[in-house]
Amino acid sequence: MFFHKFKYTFKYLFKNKSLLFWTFIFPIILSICFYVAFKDIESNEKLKIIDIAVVQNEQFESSMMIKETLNYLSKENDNQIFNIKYTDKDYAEKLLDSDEIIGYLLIDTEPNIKIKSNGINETIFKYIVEEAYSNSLVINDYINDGVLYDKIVEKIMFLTEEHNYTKNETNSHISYTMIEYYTLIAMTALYCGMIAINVINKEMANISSIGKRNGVSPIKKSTGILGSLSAAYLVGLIGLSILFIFTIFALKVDYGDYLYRVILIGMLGILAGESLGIFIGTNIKGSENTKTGILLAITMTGSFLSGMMGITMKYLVDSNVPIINLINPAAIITDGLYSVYYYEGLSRYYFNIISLIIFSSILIILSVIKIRRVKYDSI
Amino acid sequence: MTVFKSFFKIMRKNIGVIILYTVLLVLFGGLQFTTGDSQIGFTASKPDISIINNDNSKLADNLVAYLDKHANLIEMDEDELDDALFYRQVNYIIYIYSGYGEDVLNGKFIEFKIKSTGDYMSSLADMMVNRYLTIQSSYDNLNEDELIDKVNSVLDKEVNIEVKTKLNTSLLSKISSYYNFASYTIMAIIILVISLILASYNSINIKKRITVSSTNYIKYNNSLLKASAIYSLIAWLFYNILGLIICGSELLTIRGLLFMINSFIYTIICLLISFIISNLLTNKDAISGIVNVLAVGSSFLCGVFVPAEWLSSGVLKVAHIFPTYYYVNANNVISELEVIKFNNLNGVYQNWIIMGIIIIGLFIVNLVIVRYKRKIN
Repeated sequence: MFFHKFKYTFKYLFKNKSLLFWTFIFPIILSICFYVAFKDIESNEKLKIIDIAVVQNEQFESSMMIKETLNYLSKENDNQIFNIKYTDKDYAEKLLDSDEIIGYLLIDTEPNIKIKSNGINETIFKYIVEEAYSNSLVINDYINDGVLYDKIVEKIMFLTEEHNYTKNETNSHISYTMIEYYTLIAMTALYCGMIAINVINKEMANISSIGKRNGVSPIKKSTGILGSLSAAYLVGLIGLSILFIFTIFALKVDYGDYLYRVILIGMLGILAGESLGIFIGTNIKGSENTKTGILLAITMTGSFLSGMMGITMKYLVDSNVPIINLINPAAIITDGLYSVYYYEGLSRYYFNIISLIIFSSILIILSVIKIRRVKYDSI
Repeated sequence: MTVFKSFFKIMRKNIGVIILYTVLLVLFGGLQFTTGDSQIGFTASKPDISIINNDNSKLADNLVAYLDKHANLIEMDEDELDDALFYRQVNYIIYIYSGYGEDVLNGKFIEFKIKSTGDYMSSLADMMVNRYLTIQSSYDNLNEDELIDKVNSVLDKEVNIEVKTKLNTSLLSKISSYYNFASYTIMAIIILVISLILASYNSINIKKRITVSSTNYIKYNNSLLKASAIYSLIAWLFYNILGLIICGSELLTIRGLLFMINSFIYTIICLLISFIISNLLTNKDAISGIVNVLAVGSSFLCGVFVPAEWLSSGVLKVAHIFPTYYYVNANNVISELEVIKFNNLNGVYQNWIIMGIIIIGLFIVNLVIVRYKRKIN
């Protein structure tokens, strides 16, 4: 009987076009949107060439350090930082007003920079001028101290050379756009709850006629429901696998080095989603639309809090109200995938696995209590 | 009147969707505004840095003090740092090893282990550290205190900065983000709900009943149009009042008025799109699917969830087909205007004119579809 129910549940689930759309196709469309939006986001974070102007007056010409530094940084090569217009004060003001430059430099007794608004480019401009200025102060110090000419040249060379006192030991898996895909995996896993709701409605006699027929049939209730739910789980598994395969091969999403850990999280995620669906299906009174609506509301809010519409949200919740993301299934799944990607150790991963198991178990137990031994009056 | 009232009855059944999207907007908007206001005037972009200082020397403390002055120092436990780096709460982590002070005084080469996010801010942080160490290393034969004095005296001389704008740019960009996100909510609520409601009226049984009844077809249609329009107007008012609550009194200026007019034009566009969709489709699931894809897709591509500056130019070219693109563009222009005068608003007018053309286009498309369907029937 188990296989009978399994087979036919599987068949009619695959005929339900709207269900398949939400669980199979919509996540793929979203993943394409993510891909298109995030494709260049991290390459765009690297520095772009900054447009500035310099007022060409006597004081500027005699500020060798600043002049040479700016000249060097505006040379057309891979390391070019500035695009400089050398002009007079009035024209520089005009350029600033029309946003053709972000700021201009005017040296009288000291260097002065005029900018229009705050921002990273303005800070870099200020910074570089300041660096050249402080270098010139150091050299002036030496000259005033009567240091020998050769030594001064040596110091100038030293100060203007590029020095690297830092060794970058960042984990290579630092791309934060990957986590958006993980929230998508979590959302898809939870969307499998819709399949569960659909299946459970057909088991409940007070909701559908098929449920009534199932209720009066002589098969053992547990066998019947297990058969249908296994089919539901399999459909969910197929949907999530399609999403995984698409994101890995077509979109080149990086899930870290341990694929089998990722697969386990995915499978438990589907279990969590389906148990959420079962719970809503058995405990909430209403039509299938109402139940689906409630599932969607929980899923979308959960996905939002786990960073789908802005990664900062997950961090804010984790640091300020961590309890929410400990019971939010979307966050648990997302965090599990993140722990495989970013961390070497297993403790966080196991914590998420166990959370998912506990989450699913609690919901399933509560649903079982509701479903078993239901009696209807024969009126 | 019956038709009119029934529209709102059906709307009440869809209240769940409306609440969901409103909550998302409130969360998003509220989140933006918790990150604090900055003052007017120059504030150097400060990277968020964490320092793990394992050295007890004065030289190390001086370095920490220098970084404290020019960056945001974030205190954190070492094991939380990796997470903070990933989530971009910290851009740069520097590990000052034990024995650093001695190495400096002995003229040895210094190398710090660092971790960075590889973006603008972390590059700035790296530049700061390298500059400090370069200046420090250029002096030799000095003792600890002398060295600290020399380095500080050089690095204390800052360049004068004059900022031309009087705008509180960070507040304005937050308001602009709120309105940009509101486009997603408005699009979802208006198109989804109106299409679903009108789809109920277009379902075959109801349509047959109405056709055989004695109701004036034009009056019936007008009632539906009026109800949809009033619903949209209420939604628009609601989101602007919500904006006032979240964004504050800045919206009670002419700039705020521009934001509101922009969102009104956008609401009209969404209303027209919902008519077209309800005339083309009657299957509620299909409508739900298409509207969601449209709303999320256009929001992503037009710079609602991800700021437009960060999107590639190819994406932005495609985004030109969506009305959301012009709405977001207008919002960004409004938030950056220095002075608001009638002849200054070209950037805004351009977008509004295009949105006006879209409205006329959608109107014509709707008429054509309705006529086509009537011919078939």
